Amino acid sequence: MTSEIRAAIRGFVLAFVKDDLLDDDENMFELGYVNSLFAMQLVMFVEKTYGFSVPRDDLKLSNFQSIDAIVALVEERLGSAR
Amino acid sequence: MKTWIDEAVFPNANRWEEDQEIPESVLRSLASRGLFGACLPGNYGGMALDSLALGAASAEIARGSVSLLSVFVVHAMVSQALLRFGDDAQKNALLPRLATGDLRAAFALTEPDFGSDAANIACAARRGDGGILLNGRKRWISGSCYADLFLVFAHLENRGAIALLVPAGTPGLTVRPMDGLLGFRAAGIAELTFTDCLVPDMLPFDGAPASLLGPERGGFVFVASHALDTGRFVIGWGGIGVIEGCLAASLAYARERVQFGAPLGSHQLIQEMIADMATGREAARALGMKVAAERDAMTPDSVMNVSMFKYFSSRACVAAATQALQLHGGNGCSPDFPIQRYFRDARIFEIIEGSSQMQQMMIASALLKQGRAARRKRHDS
Repeated sequence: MTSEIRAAIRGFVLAFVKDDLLDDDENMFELGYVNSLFAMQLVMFVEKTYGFSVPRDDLKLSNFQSIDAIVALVEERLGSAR
Repeated sequence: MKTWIDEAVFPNANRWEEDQEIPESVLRSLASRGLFGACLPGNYGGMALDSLALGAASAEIARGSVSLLSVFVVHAMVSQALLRFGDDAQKNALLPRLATGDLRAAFALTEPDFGSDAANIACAARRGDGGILLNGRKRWISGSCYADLFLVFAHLENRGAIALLVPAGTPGLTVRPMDGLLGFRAAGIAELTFTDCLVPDMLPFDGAPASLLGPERGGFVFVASHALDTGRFVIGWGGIGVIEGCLAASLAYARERVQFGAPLGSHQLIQEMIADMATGREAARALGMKVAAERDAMTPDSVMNVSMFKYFSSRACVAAATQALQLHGGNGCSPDFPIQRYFRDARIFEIIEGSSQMQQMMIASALLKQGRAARRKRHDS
């Protein structure tokens, strides 16, 4: 499950970032790899793909700054929904 | 709504531009129709319009008065930001009042030295005694002269951009109207100056909602971007409304005006202009309907496609207003006709909520990266 989530998120992110060699733990916002529209697209992708609404308190950069962070957020939300 | 626009808005819009003010009675009338709560859900007293209905309403308002649309859109942007990023106290205290128009809001992002480069805003925030101390300036802020509440973006020391709710009248905040602009003259555009402006942590509204909206560091990336998406969508539909107005005025003029012994509309070069206006309107509307459906379906592509829609619609709007002005000749330049107003306002559509050049860069950049991703997928397989 984790590998599927990671592959899907990585696929989505790499369609937008400037560097194909982005590591999963790299902060794509600090590195300037993405523009301001991307965060919204990322939130919508996560919500649409995994069927939950990201709660207000989870809408922060630290949850979306890297592939690792997004995977952790999705796993946590899916886990808490079970 | 069409009747109200035809009878109470459109016939008076030229005069409002001359006065550089929309009468309070008109804003109350907009409120009485529920339009300040157009895109808020019913549980907060809003109309819960879907995206297509919001777009249609935006086009109608713009057909009547682009300045009125400007007041409408910034209010909608702040409302949407509060709906998405507000906590329960903020939403319960503010959204019902925003929905009724009892509280009017404006969106304060642009600064004298930072427009398109909004992520590098200079307005400074730091922790003060019981609140956040703001220093800096905002410029070109639509709706300011009518607003009770501003959503202000500032850098909080070394903790990134924040979004802050600032009531009008907060000591240290000065609102200076910007007169004599090319267009949007009645939109209440102003420069805001914050001089040791202490914004209390808890705002003086029922329920004492917090002034900080959304996450620290996420003020621009999340809050402003979310609001700007709504702004671009509404402005895109506003462009359609202006094209509609240009086309209606041009058709009437082409039927009535006689030159060389024949109605203006019988001349083929005039017909070309009318055909181009109508085609631009239909193409923009088709794209607007597509992105409306995508927004309601929450598809990630909708964000980029809204940029594309705003870009296309505002360009088509400028083209239509230019043709309408040419078709009307000297009369198009007269305050007795709406064309001069549409022409001036249309040009501004290409600048606000992200200039056409910024939209082009974002669209092209995304496509280039997607192409590279596709090539990588083929390579990996």
